[in-house]
Amino acid sequence: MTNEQLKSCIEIRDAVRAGKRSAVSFVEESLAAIAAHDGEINSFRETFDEEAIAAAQAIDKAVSEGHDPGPLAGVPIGIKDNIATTEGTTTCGSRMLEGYCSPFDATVVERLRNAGAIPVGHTNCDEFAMGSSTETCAYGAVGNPWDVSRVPGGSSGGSAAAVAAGFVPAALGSDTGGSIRQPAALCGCVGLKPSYGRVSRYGLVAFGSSLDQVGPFTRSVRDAALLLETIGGFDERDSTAAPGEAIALPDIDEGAAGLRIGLPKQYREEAKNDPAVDACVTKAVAQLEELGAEITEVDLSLTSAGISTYYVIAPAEASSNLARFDGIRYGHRTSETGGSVEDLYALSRAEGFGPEVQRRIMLGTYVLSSGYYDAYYKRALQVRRLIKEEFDRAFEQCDILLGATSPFTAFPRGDKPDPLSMYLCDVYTVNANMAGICGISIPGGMSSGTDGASKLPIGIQLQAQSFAEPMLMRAAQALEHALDYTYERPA
Amino acid sequence: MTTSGNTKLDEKQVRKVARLSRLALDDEAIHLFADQLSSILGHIERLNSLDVEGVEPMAHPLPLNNRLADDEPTEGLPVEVLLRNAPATEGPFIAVPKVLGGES
Repeated sequence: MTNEQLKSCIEIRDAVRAGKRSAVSFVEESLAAIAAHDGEINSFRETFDEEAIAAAQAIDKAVSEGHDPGPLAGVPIGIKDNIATTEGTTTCGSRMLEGYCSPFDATVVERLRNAGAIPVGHTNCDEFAMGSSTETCAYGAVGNPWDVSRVPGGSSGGSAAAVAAGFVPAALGSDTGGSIRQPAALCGCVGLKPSYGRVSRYGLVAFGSSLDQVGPFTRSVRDAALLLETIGGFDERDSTAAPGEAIALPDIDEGAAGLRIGLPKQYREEAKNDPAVDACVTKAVAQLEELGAEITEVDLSLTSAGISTYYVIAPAEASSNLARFDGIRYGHRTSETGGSVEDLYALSRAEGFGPEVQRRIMLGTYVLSSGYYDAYYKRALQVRRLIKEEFDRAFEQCDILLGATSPFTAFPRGDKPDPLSMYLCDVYTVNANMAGICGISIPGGMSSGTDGASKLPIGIQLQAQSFAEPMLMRAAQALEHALDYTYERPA
Repeated sequence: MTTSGNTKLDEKQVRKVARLSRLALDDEAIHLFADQLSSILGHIERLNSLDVEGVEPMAHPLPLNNRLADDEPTEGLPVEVLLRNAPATEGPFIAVPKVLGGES
């Protein structure tokens, strides 16, 4: 693969706006890179070649006529396959929705288009966003661009891999329990989960409706801020979108001086982190301290309770949301249509959903069923409040929580055949979704690559209170600058 | 229901959950899910060690309640566009198996 400088969203739109390079040339370059190099990685399920070129031509025409083509003019973007686009099909990585043509765009896609960005294709994900490795995708597992024998993380593994591989400067993902931040960490890019309610979920296929948020993958904090400015803000089509205008982030360059950084000791102890991961965190903390940040230790003793709580609440919401897939109005219908309507539902769903989705539907149905509701679901909602209150107390002591995004670097494909061991990947990320706070993973460095393994990216997670994105992005920008991580295209 | 952990789902319970979930599973899947769900529930039951007495359940991160839309008609999606995704159609309708009058 060529090793020319990877361009940021901002560089692309500046070049397009100034008429120095055409939007068409950027889109063609992106599509060509995918066609030539995505075979082993499998980050894109489909590309929107014709529509993307046509959209780029319209941008170039606007530029030539003296119109402003928008703050993301000509920027090629990958869209996770659970976010509806009118181009191509939106499958959620599932046979259930194979061939499903969305009659509408998700709000986030509409906002990207209005800003001049160009969706170039749908990226592969775990089926219905359920997984931490992108191995449950019905259209093939995704490889990590740094070592294709390893996973890219998940569930937005295709989006993370596409950005890390240099196919696109940005992609959208969704994060229900870590599905943006963890793959960003494992692939070596920036991944931002906005506060719950910051970004419209209209057109995001629902998994856990009280947990899901759409967010960007990019190769810089500044690009992530620009994407958030573009996709955020109230949407009357999502009753859970928080009131208020889109966020503006003009002050992310104010530096780390005076920021209070909280280090939860549980973020080192809960999951037996790789030593290389801990070393990266230590380095990041030292850098921030040097920049004038105050470092304090905070207590998040409910960190490990998060996984247990999450695996009640998320499957409960999923079992309810996925009840809509009944083989009647859209989605897969069994060919065995001789029986009752209930038989048709049950056969269509057994054929259309893969094992992980079935498992979570079963789990959710069980914890919501008569006799078990109080013991599991209600208790989990109570612990959820305790988790939120614990974050509230921590954010009285500090502005930013810092730790590893994932306890370990990218693991080999097939390494976690047991569902529970896969669930434990998200120990440091699920609680942000439970409480609705915002979080970002930025590259903190690489593992040494001694002991015969590939050099693999390590992610640092920063979290801030709900709707404190200005603080979060400022801290992330300062840390990114201090760490001076160079984005390379993996070989 | 046990509150001390180690819940074991037997295959009969798993069949019941599968029926409630509208999933037609074969014996092999039932057997596998019995093991896997038991193991996951065992992990979940760690929550039993936490004191939640008097804690208000939290179903949602935002204090938003039933935001109402203005009662004004908006344009819907065209029927023919929506029918494109239907697995079976008859004229302007979605075709389904007979619902009433069959065996119960």
